[in-house]
Amino acid sequence: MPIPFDESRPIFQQIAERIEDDILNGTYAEEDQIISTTQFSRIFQINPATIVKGFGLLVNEDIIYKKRGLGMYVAVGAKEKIMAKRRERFYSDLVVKLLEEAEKLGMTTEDVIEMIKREKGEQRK
Amino acid sequence: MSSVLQVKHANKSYGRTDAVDSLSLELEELKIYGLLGRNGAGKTTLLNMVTGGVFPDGGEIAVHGTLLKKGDVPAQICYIREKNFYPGNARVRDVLQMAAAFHPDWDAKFASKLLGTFKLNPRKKMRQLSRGMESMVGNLIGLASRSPLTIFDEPVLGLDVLMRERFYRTLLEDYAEHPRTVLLSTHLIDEIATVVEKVFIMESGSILMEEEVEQIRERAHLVSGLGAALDTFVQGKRVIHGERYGNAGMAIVYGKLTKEDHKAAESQGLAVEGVPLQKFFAYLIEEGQTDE
Amino acid sequence: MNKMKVQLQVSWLRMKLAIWILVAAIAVSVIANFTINMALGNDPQQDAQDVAAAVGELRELTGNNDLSIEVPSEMENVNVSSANMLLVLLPLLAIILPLKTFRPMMNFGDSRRRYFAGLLGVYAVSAVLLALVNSLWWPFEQNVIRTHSQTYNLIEVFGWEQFGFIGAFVYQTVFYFFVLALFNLLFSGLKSPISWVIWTVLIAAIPIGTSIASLRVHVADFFLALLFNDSLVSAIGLNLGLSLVFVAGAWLFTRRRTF
Repeated sequence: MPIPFDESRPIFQQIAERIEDDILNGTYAEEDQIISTTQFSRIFQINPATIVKGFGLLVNEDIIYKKRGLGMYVAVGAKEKIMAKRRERFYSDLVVKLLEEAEKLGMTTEDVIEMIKREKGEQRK
Repeated sequence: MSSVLQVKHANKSYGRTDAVDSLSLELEELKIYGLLGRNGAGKTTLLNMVTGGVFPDGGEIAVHGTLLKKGDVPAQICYIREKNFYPGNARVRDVLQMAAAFHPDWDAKFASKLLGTFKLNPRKKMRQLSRGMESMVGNLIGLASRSPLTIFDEPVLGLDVLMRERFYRTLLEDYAEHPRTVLLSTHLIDEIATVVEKVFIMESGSILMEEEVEQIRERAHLVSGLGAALDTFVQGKRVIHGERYGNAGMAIVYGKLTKEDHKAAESQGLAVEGVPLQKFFAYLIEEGQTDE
Repeated sequence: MNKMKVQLQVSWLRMKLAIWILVAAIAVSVIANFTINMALGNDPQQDAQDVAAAVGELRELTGNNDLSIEVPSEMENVNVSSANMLLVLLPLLAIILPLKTFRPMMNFGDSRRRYFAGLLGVYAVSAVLLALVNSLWWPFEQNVIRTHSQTYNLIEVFGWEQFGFIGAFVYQTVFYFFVLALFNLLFSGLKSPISWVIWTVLIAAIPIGTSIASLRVHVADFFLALLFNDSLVSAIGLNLGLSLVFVAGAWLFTRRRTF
């Protein structure tokens, strides 16, 4: 199995993101058990300590929680928490950057909105 | 955490060349470590000292808390050499049985299962094996020994990608069920980067860097942009490698970058990216070499 | 499988080829001798007549009547006992084992101490086995083989038969162990300068010991005491005592021997 992770960024963060993605797209519902450290380690060929660290990030944010002796489970309200977090990041990482770039290119905010509307309109067809 | 292996200022020279030069390192319990370095960096000499094969000229080595005296071979250790010394006319099956006698935690069932996993024919004689299969016999012994400290020297030599991954996956799988300390010494760092928790990077007989792999991923940055801006930015930071082309340039910077650092870079038109580990190690070793 | 069994197996794997070659060589020579003796008819008188006739012919041909051929009293071809030929194994064992089994055993994770003890065990068993084979072969050789072929056996050459079956067996065992211990010493520390000194001394001792007359007496005395000793007890003492010195020397090499 080739490693589906970006080798130039910490892998534990990418592991957390992957689990979040799976919660967002419905692979895991609330109170579902998520993949175990051992399975994850074997499938993606990653040191278990790294995975534990990745899961730890999610535990700290109350997105998953540990049932003693059973494994990790998706917390109630996890999806909302992830969405809220991602919206925040959407703003800081994408919107702000988008507008900065637009400014460099001499585009006004209206131009950008116009472009977005055009894209959306085309998609509707 | 108790230490499984402790090396303090170990020295070893052959003639006038220092194979190992005042080297110190410590392995903690139940972790997987990588010992990375080019061929000839002194890795095998270090491992031979640690396992009692050769004796250090100076310094101390303690295995499982016991100081290694000259001539002693440490217990509770399984060392899989790069070049094995199993009799060539012994069959794979016999070699496994023989190895079992020296490892109290040997799991015979696991060993016979691994024969299948690694596609080894137990009836073949050792001298009939390809280099890759020879490596796999050693790897099998290392895994089945379940030794509290298992050392593999160049475990994937002669193996194709598929078998390399099969070995690392099996190692991780078994490690999850039977945690122990593992040291993987190799110059082939392709697949090892996600397998190990911590690496020691060795060059010219000493440790250049000792760090958790995830830490390195967090701290290794490739900064590129205009030369002047770059110079200001890297000031006071650890630069592993730098290059100039025209009035632009790039630098591999090692260290945690703060929010302010990122902002400063952005305002100066500098691009900050991560560095793939293999690349980073290559730069590090290259620089470590020119330092001499 | 325990560690000692591993050592036995590794030793066997390393010795296998040499043992087969030796056994094959002995078998071939035995068969060849047997065939030749059969073909010759094995009749000393006939042989003497043949020689006389041949000399007569030569005299006629050359016209030289002084020509003669010295004929030994026993004309048959004389062989080393087959069981004695097996003794080539002694140096072979003590050369091949220290050279070829140390690293495999260390590679498995063996300690130097256990390896060395195991090696001594292999030597002791080998000495006993070879002595036993030769002791058992000896009556067979005297009663069966000598009816058609003349052979030499160490047991009579060194006069060990005077000590009886058990005594000859014991003398052989200690002497074989002495040989093993000597070769083992020489081949245990080839990387060590001390070993080179021992080699030099030994090689130099041969011409010096035989060429200087005053020394020659002592050298001869030494070999007499070692091999032709009329006292079994003193022979055992000398052989084992020297073996002990060699073993101690080999251990000093082995305990510091690097991989």
